[in-house]
Amino acid sequence: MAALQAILNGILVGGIYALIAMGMALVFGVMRLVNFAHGAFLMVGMYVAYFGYTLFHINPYWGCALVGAALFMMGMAVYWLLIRRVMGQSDFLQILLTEGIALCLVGAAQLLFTGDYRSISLPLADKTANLGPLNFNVAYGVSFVIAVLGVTSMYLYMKYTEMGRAIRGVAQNPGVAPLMGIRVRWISGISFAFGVACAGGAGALLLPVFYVNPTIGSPYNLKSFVIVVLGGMGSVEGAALGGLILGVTEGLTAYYWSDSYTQVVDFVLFLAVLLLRPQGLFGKKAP
Amino acid sequence: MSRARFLPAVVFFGLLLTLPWWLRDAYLQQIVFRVVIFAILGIAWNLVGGYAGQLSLGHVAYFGIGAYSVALFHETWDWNPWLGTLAGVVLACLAALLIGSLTFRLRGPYFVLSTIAAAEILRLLALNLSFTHGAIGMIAPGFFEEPNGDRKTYYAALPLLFLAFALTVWTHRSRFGYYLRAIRENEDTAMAVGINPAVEKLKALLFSAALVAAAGALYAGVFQFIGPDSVLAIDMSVQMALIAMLGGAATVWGPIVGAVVLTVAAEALKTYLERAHTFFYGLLLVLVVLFLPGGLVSIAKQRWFRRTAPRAQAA
Amino acid sequence: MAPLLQLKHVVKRFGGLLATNDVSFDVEEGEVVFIIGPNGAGKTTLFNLISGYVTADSGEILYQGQNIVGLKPYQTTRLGIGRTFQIVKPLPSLTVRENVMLGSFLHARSRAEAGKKADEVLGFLGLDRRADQLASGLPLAQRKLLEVARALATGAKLLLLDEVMAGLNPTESAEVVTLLRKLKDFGVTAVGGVEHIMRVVMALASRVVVMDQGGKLAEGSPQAVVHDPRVVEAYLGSKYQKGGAPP
Ligand SMILES: Nc1ncnc2c1ncn2[C@@H]1O[C@H](COP(=O)(O)OP(=O)(O)OP(=O)(O)O)[C@@H](O)[C@H]1O
Ligand SMILES: [Mg+2]
Repeated sequence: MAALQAILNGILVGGIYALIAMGMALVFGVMRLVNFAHGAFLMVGMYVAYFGYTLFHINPYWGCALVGAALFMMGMAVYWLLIRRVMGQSDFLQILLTEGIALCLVGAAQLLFTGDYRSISLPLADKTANLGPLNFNVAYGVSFVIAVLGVTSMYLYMKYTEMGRAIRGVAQNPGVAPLMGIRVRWISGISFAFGVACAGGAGALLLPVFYVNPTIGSPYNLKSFVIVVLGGMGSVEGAALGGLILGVTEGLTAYYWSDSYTQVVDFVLFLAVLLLRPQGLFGKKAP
Repeated sequence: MSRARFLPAVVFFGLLLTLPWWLRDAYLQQIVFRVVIFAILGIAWNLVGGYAGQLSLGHVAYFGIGAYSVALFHETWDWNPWLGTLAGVVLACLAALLIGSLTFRLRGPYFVLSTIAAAEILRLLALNLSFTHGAIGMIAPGFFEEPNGDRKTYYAALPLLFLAFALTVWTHRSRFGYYLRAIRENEDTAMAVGINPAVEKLKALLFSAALVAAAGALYAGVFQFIGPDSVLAIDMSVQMALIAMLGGAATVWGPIVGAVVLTVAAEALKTYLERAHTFFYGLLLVLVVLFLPGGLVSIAKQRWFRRTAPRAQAA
Repeated sequence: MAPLLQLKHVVKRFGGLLATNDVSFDVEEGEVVFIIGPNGAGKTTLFNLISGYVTADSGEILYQGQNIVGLKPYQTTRLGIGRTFQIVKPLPSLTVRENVMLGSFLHARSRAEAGKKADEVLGFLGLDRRADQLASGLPLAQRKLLEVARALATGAKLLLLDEVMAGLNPTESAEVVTLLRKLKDFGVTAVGGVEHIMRVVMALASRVVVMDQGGKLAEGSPQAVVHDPRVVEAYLGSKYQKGGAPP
């Protein structure tokens, strides 16, 4: 029974992971760019939500859409100012650039907000609900539901809208896309911004159940890489599933071993998948 | 001409050797010590990241192994720090062998991520295992007795810097260095001339890891207190890369120039802005990637060519 | 004596595509064998199979009697198989001499010896005047020659030349033909070539293998092959379909 409880906890966290990782998968799929600043954008999202709540009493649950929108604009700006200039250059430079952006964001947060741990307390966060014999924290539950809504709407957007189709077109066939009248640069910018928005929105959803400080993003950075690799690099649906798997793995590790080793297991899993099944758990093609 | 090539090196090491005579301020001497350590780290990273073009962001793993070896072997078996350093270097080489043979099979971002993951696993283990005392960290023995322990350690660090520098000079001109550059630019071409990329990359990583581990051991001996967040933090990996890139990757002098500029600038900045260093490193990294991917040394080279070109024609 | 190189029923698939379909032929010492065929026939793939860049799904490739299927490219190079790339792959940040030295390092004991060997090869190919220039600054014709120089410098016994004449003007290619006739001076005992320019093939080849859609269509002396009706059909047919001469 306790193991089931661990799995449930894992699923709840995994839903949020899925949203974070989906953003990274989108950016990787379209631009072949691994955004090493992804976790930093998540941290920015948490701060935006934090100040939205403390200054303007915006509840992070519905505020996450606003946070997502704000981060979308930020992503656009970062793309046009910086990322655009290294597209088509070596991954060596691309990775260093996004790592530099990550340090700038973390450093700026340290300057502005100090290294203090901040958190908000929603009344919801103290309540537990029952699901049969299992119980869960209501705040986690709500975050999970919203994250799943986010993932689903993103998926539908990709599948059914004009822009979504164009984005997938570029992801599947970057060479041919321009011939079909798709403006690859524009699409790249939008995708990057969407990716950043996912991270930011997820940040807002984490706020009610977590604290925020400037370096909070870096574990999420690596976690979303783990998830994206688990789900097959660049596959958006795969990333959603990978998020749940990682969440459950962490839940079970915490239960059977220790809370402190969840991340060790994450990274060992990551290395194992990269080395043994580089196409991801569900991918069919070899890379 | 060929003798003139050695002049900068002679001047540079001459200045470092005579430091206590021309720089009396203890605080400034400490900064020079830091430059020396960072230069060793930058040079070591440059072998793998610069010459071989493999963007490792997990080099702090070897630094941590060096530092923890000094502390751990001292605590458990009362080894002196020299023996601990030796053990650290050997262990770092073993780790490099393992990490390298796994990660060098991957390319591009996959490689980068796997190096980070390997280093993070070590950090998390150090943070959670009981014999490393977790987040509290460990006390490490100093290399020398007082008085003047710091100065003696400084003189212990100089040969290491010289070794690292000499290794780079040799690499720059030897078959090994050409092989690494070939791998960096095109592995297909490299294989077409009989190069086994996996083996050459591994060699570079072994040299690199040994140097980084020795630097880590020195660090432990000087600060005498280490923890997962000081000697296994991912930021330090990025810093090593930044030092080499800022000065000029795959150049002999790049990492040294990078170490001098970065350390002095960070120190100057610290007096004005207490918590600004992360932002500063990030900004520098962005600027270098966008505007100066060849590093500071590349500016000097261009200047030099512009000055000497007309003269060469006239002669 | 056994042939220098023997392909026996070699098969290679890329997904659903049969890039090499049961191909067999020999290359004897002293021979110059050219492989011709329309675009996409699988010529480069054959070279990739021999030099180890792709691994055969089935069949055998024997070099000096040894099965080399599964060897890595650097291993085949060390055995004496040198190759050029159809899409030239010089190292742009190194000078022309340094590019060639990469090859001569393989058997040189010192840097000086490697430099000497490189200069010999560069002199032979008429690239000596460009030796200290960055490889990125070379015009295409000379980048092609640089590919040959690098492969020669490895001390190759069997040299695989993938379209080294493509993109050269007639004068240049005539010069290169003269050069290639003298490869024996460098210890090259056999040459495998891919070329679209029939004039070059006729001038150099002692034997021609014709490929079409992954399979071997014909094999024989250059004169015999160009008059083979199947070859004419495959060539004209495919050229006609693609609506133009090969690049
Ligand atoms: N690595 C690969 N992966 C998938 N398909 C490949 C690969 N290499 C070659 N092919 C395919 O195999 C077929 C044969 O290609 P190959 O390059 O051998 O032709 P070729 O005869 O050299 O043509 P060309 O005259 O244009 O150089 C082509 O359809 C090509 O697309
Ligand atoms: Mg070809």
